[in-house]
Amino acid sequence: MPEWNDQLIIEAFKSPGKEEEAFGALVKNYQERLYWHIRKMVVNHDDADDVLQNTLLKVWSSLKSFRSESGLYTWLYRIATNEALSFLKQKKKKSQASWLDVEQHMSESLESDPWFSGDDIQLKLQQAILRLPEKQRLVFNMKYFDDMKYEDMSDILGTSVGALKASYHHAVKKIESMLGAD
Amino acid sequence: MLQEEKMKKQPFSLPEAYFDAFPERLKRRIAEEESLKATKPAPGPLVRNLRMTRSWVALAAAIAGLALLVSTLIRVLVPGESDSYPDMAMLEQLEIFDDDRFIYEMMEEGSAELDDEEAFAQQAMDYLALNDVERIMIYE
Repeated sequence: MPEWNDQLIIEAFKSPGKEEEAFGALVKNYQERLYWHIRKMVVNHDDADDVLQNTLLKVWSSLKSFRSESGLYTWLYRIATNEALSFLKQKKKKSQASWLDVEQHMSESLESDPWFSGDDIQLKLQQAILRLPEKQRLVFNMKYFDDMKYEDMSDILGTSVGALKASYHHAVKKIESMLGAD
Repeated sequence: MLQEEKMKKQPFSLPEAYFDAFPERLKRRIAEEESLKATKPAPGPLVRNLRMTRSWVALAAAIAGLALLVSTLIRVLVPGESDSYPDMAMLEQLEIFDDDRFIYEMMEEGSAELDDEEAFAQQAMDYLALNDVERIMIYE
């Protein structure tokens, strides 16, 4: 049984009768990475589960027309990122509150979240990250926790490497300032 | 403090065997969605046309606004090339577009009707192509 790499997955998905097997391999290869990428943005496990399902639903319906201009990994991360940002936007609309109120709610929920296992200082870090604008949060999470290369982030987010570096630098300064103030 | 290794550790946990069970749950969800699609009547040509028209009208309005802004700025910055001077009140009302943000939000606006990545990219490329054409017309 060959190992399912990206090339095999894409080719198999385009062959009639092999789509489910190929998609199953894609899910197995990428579910964890995509989940944690989403979870860091939406914070709550149940929300991350919803967004992950929505992401992979979109992948299922679009994979046939995937043109391989970007890598599969980049494409999947892009969809997951868009779904997470859409989810947060919808959350803001539904609550009819500003982002600050939503972020406040998410921050307070963390303290009693059964699926948050960090200590006090890790909690403070997550609360500080939540206070960053959404796209800057993305940049910070991808660089700080995932140690992603700027070039890969640039492909996923469609933003220049220079802008990403500047955004990350500012994010670090803001977070250090917030943590230092406590 | 951010340099400490402990800080880089993931503080989130999740239910046991979540990833073992996830593929099967996803499979059921896909089957449900496809069953819903099969029973839902397809939008009629009028609804489809209205949706497409709404997207393109929004896009055309945005491009027209951008063209107006650029031509007005030229008149302001290069006096004498035009017979009329910009109305300052109008300038104040015009939004300054952040291209990256605008493209992203424009792509998101259309996403309710256009579901896939290919369609997003195509929509953005169309916007850029139309934008360049407008600029050439202004400078001529």
